[in-house]
Amino acid sequence: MDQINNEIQVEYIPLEVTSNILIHIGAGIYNSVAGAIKELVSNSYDADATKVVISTDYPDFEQIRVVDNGTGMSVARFKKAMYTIGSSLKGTLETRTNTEKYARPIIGQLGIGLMGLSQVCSVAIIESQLRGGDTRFVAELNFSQFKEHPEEQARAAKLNVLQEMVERFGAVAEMKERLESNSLDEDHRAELRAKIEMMEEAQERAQEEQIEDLEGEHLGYCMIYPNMRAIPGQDGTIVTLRAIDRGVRELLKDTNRSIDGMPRHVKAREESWGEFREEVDEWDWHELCERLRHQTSGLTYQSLPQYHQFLWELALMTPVQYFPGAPVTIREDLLTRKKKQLKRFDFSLIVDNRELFKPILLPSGDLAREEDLEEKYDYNIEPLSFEGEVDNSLLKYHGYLFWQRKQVKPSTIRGIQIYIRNVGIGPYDNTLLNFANVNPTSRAGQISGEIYAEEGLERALNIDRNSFRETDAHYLKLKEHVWSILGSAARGDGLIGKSVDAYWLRQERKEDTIYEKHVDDLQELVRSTGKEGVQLRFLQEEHMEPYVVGEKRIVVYDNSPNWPTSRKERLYAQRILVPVRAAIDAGASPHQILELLENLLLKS
Amino acid sequence: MSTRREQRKRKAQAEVPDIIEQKQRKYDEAQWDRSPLKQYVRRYGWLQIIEDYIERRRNDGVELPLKFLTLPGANASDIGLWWKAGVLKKREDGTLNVAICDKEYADVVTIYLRDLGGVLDYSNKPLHEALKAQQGALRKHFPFDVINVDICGSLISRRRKSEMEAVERLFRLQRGQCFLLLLTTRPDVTAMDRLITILQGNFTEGPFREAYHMRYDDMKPEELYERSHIVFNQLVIPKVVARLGREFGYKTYEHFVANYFRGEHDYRMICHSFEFEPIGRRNPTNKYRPRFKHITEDNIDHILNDELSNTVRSSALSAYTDFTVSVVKRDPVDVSAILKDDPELYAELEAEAESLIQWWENVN
Repeated sequence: MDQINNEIQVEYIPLEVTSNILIHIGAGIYNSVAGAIKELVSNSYDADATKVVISTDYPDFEQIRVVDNGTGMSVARFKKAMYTIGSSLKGTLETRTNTEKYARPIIGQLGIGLMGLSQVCSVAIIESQLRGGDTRFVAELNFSQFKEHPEEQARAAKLNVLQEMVERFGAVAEMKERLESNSLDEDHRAELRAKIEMMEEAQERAQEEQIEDLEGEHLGYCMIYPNMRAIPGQDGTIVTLRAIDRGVRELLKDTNRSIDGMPRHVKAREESWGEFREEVDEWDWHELCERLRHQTSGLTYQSLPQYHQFLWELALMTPVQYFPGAPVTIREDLLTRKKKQLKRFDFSLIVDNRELFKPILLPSGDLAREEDLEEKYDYNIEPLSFEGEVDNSLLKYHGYLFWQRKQVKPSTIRGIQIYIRNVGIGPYDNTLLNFANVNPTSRAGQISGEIYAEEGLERALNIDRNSFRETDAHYLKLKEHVWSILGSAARGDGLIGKSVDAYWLRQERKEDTIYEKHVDDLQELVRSTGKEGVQLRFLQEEHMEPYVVGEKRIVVYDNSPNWPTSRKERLYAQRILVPVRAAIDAGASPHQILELLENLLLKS
Repeated sequence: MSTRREQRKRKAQAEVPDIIEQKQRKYDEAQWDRSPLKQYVRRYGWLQIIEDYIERRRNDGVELPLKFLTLPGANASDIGLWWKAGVLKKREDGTLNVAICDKEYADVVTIYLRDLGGVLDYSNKPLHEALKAQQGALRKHFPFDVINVDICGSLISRRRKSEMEAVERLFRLQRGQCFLLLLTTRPDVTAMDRLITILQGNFTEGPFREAYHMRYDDMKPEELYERSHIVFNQLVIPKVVARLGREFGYKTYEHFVANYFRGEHDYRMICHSFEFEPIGRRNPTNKYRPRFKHITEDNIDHILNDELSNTVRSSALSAYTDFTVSVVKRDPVDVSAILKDDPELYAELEAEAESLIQWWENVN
């Protein structure tokens, strides 16, 4: 049997990052566990993996593994990522823009993605085997030293080295001043000179050490075993996160979470979060998403166990496919090209044996239960796309904004989700690119949209890759475009304007319905007075007489100025006067008329 | 370079041997999937038993597809063979009727089996931990019809108890349903005292003592152990497993028993297969359903005490006694010897084992 070479090479790479980046890492590049894990998924996607399996060790969360069947990673590429992490965030690793097999746009954030793991665990083992290769490398990223002394590390990172030197060796300057004084004898001067020299040397040494420390090793180290023998058929990459941070585990376990956050019916059963999590875990992914869409039994996103929120976030941020017919199930033709592209990319993400799809299902909330929804009345969709030079570089995006006449559910898909290279950037922006902050509108919660940036916009990304620099030209262009599509209620244009129109359209329709019923009721009332064969007609023409009663017909001039102005009062007046007049014409006795009036006024 | 940096480097490098050893073992295990010896057990042992079991179920009027639990290794060769032989089927939802547990490979195998519909569930924990976890992925799928426990370590070990705990948990979670247990393990040469104590316990039972003396003359257990710890282990291990079965109201049948040398290493792996039949189920179809429907693993002791009738208990005791006698009388198959004398079969099995490496790539 083949043996692994015992004299295997082992390489030690301190994880050197600039203090600037260290501050961000210390402060938290990712604002959620899913944010950090998404970067691993992106790496797999870049490696043309068709399947990524994440195992979270549910419900203990002691270890998280991310396994893919991609092309694997060469040790050289991995090392480069380790070495260049501090100097660039923009993927200097990548020379191509698309992957080889599926031509997926490369996300290319290997280095920073791996560094972000320091927020989730203390140790990450990376194993990778190139497709068809005869070796496999194993690397251990160890952040435990960093975690052991977080305060010291953070202090060092934030410290201005020179400033500290001044503080520490301020005495040297003082001695130099004294040296210039004429009152000192030569012995004293010699002593001072020696001291100054010694202290200056110490200062220099300390400065070098401090700078060296600041330049590297704050985050931990990486050990690489580059020449392990390949295991046939095991191409791809496995990342095992060990020593998961206690905070992460407690979060995913809902430890110390108040039961007040549970849906009412669950709270009433006095269940623990663990029991509720088990119940939710019984639902398959589609069922969970549909329940949130409909808010079945008061289930909201906020009332979900954290583990399921983690799944939801992952599904939103990673380049997985949509459910069939989604995102807007009443307009399957929406995002057709994108959906085809995602299908062609053939990428699936499976977490704990559950395949994730994008959880966006619209329309939602009460509206999802209604049949025969009509565009213009109940919802509106505005596709948007742009391709052109902005600030001397190409910007290309497309997407849609969807408005529905009731609040979008769950609340996490209110706003706009922006994707760059098919990866979701942060959660939905519920300010609609700051629109709702500047133009307060109750309709912001009724809007949900997605925008896929195919080119550009990346430079607007902040280091957290979860938000944008709002002064970037590409971002400004997108913002301007989105705002123009959102429009204004006052001006009556755009999606917001259309939503106001929809209100009035619905009102008109409602009134028409009321009117039709009124005419039918009136017809029935006239018939009940015994005046058989009389035709009741409603005319809209203006006439001074509000109604005219003939032998065979009664004409109601609905627009007569003599009717009360208020529609409600007008209909009421018609409802009384017309039947009474018809009854009199039919020869009703006063008693019968009184009975009719009582019927109309007391019972109706 | 600063001293601090040096210290860190030294500390990191000190961990190298562990990781290399771990990875080497992983590589060896993956290579072992290619072994014709192991393939012999898969084909003439496990597969044959499963097919016979399906036939017996059919005769009892049960046509339901079998549900498997296995520790598949890197290539899931066992699953491949079952799938190709048609004993492993898909469920209505399209998933393969198998759950897998493997610390190193469960998720990797899951990826590859995804194109075939995926597995019921998987766990990356060691078996005993996977079965322990209250909300673990595997527990909700119990009971299974076939459980294949292929452990590199020892079932009965001097130091570790986890493997035996896992087997006990399996019994608890099976809730009295009939099942096959296919067991591959490596005898622990350091566990002599423990094994001898177990065997000596049986000498108080007349029929066993008699059978033992007849087979091994008046030899003391220590002497048999000295002569062949493999023979010794293959007496003790089935006894221990059947004893557990007895506690849970089962009658134990032993089917294929074998051992083989593992590669260049000077040790043998031993293979045992058991069928556990719940005692006292008059309608044969009921055997294949859990005896206890609504109990959890944790309250099964109480249920066993209260609900297993005296008749079942006494039948279980006598079945166990018969079993221990039969164990003394039978001879395990020496797979290494068989294949040494039959190069043609060796080559055939080698090719078959090879065809099971990445078998999923050649399945429509």
